[in-house]
Amino acid sequence: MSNTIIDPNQTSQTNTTDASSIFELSDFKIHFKKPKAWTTPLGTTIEHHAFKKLLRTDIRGIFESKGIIDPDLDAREIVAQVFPFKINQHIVDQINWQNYQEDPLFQLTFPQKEMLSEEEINDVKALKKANASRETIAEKISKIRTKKNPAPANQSANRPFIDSDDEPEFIDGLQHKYKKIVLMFHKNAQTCHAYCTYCFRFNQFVGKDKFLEEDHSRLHKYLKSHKEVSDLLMTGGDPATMKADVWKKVLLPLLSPEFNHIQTIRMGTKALSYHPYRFLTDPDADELIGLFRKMRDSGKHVSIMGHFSHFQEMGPVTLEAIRRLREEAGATIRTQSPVMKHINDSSYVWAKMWDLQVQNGMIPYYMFIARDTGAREYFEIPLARALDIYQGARKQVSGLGHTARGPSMSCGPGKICIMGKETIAGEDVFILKFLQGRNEDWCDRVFFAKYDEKAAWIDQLQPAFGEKRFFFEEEYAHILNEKQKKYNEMLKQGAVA
Amino acid sequence: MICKLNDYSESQIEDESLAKFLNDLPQDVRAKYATYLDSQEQLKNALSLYFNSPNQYQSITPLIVFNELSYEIVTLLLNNNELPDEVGEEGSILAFIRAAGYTDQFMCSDCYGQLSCSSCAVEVLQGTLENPFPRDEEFDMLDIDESKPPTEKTRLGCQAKVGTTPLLLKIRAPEKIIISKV
Repeated sequence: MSNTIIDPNQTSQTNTTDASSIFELSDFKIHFKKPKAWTTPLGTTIEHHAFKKLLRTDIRGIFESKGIIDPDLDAREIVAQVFPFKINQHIVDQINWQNYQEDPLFQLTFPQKEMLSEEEINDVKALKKANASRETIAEKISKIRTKKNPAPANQSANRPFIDSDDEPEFIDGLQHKYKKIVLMFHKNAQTCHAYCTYCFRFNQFVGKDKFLEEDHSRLHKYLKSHKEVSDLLMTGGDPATMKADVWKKVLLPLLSPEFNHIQTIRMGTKALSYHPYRFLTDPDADELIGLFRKMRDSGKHVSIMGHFSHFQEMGPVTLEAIRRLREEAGATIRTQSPVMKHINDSSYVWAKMWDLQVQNGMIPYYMFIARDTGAREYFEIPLARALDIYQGARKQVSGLGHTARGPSMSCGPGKICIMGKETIAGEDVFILKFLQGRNEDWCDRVFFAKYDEKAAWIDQLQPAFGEKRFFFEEEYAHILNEKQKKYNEMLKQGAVA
Repeated sequence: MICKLNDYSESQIEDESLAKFLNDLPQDVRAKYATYLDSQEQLKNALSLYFNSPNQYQSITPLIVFNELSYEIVTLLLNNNELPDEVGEEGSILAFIRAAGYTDQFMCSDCYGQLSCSSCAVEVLQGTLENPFPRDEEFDMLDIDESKPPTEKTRLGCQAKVGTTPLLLKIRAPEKIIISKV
């Protein structure tokens, strides 16, 4: 190699000694796998659509590109400072821009001015008008965000720990609330291909309340010593954003005999809707599908917990990704979503969605109630209305669509389902049931609350029949108290996350 | 080209222009890097030629990245006409680092360049980026890592684009351990 460097652009130079050599000063080279088009079994070609994020400062450009003068644009930009905003071109293409304000996918992904109060929006507008510093505006935004219950359902109480004498440690990136299932928040799965406007983990995406695992090591250590666990749920963010090489490090060790008790690998994802190319044309799509197949062929059940909010999300590319996951990866796809005003608050939408899911081999699994977080006032519907929607939808579908449980509140004590409304001993009541409980003995326990047509969450319900408390309340407080004591004790021992 | 600084004794950078460019590195780092360059004749000569007449090599951008935690320096001589399109923004520091084969071990990117974390934060010690001012969303992300409070020089490697001036960067070690809240 010559010591002379020549700019390849300067072709007039007479010294032509190995002009490219300067670029080869590297220890090694890598070759990125390239995305490729996907051909369906029927011979249709699906071209790769590279994932490109669109963020808050792109909102204006999106409207401009559609030739729309949006009256709420300034407010949307402010809302997008409080709640994280990210979409991509695939979603933009799914929206009916002729009637965008009513479009469920627009409501699902774009910030709406009603997600904040008029006062909150005006406060930020005033700061901007007064040319307030970036720090002042950020402080205001942070204050608004704090008022939105950014850490619902006592999730920090789900964090397990490894309590060894020499090295006690909290495991920030795992949650173990129910006996049989452990949730993992891998550091490479802390984002999504787009953010839902109603996201209950929004605080993660604005850099607060980070609970995540650096890698797989503590997960494996924890699972090894917890033989009661049968299911691992990879969640986030969206674990579909994680590359196949990281997935392999998490999953392949689970094939060794010491993890025989782990029967099911679940992946909680919205990528089937937000970026279905992830499972078809992305450079590592084949690797990921192959990995799931290997897990399945080795005796593990692979369950995709697909988040679908509306049937409009299930376009042809999504349906092909679903087919591939089912047929090639051997995965089962179960579907779930919260029931949300402006997006899917109608029996018709749920019935049509469940029908389409069953038709395409998926299993409707959960209808959730909007959590008490974020822009809940904009999205929430009363429990009574949610029950109407659920029961109305069930009437419209065959028995195979009746597998969706709900409407269910995923709250601190557990998953509580509204089973029905009845009049018992002259009192109008909600019949409630634990589908899962922080204490496993609560599971399937039925209890009653006074009927309240406005109540939208468990903390707005009163026990029926003159009871002062629900049966679980005292024990739940005791469980939390004991957890707190244990954490304090471990902190004294020097435990860190 | 990666230099594991602990493998080298200390000497002095001979080339004045290069020495001036590296001035913001800690003295020990600079001195060990000098010995490393002495062992890499091709690289040393290339850098020397570039820094003595940068206008002659406008399609080349030297990128020198010091990782404070691993105590390593990666030196790349980039062709700024060929922009790698991943990871992160096209032609970003992270994209070039990945294209040269350096993984999370050297420059971390938890979110694969999606502007959803700050794990790829760098300090721009010398040089001007193609996009010298962060977009709002990048700015919002800069202060989310409590263990590494940002400075005026902090940028995200996935968003900061390599331009035509040489860049000297530092990947900082965490300043403090954060104990999670219960």
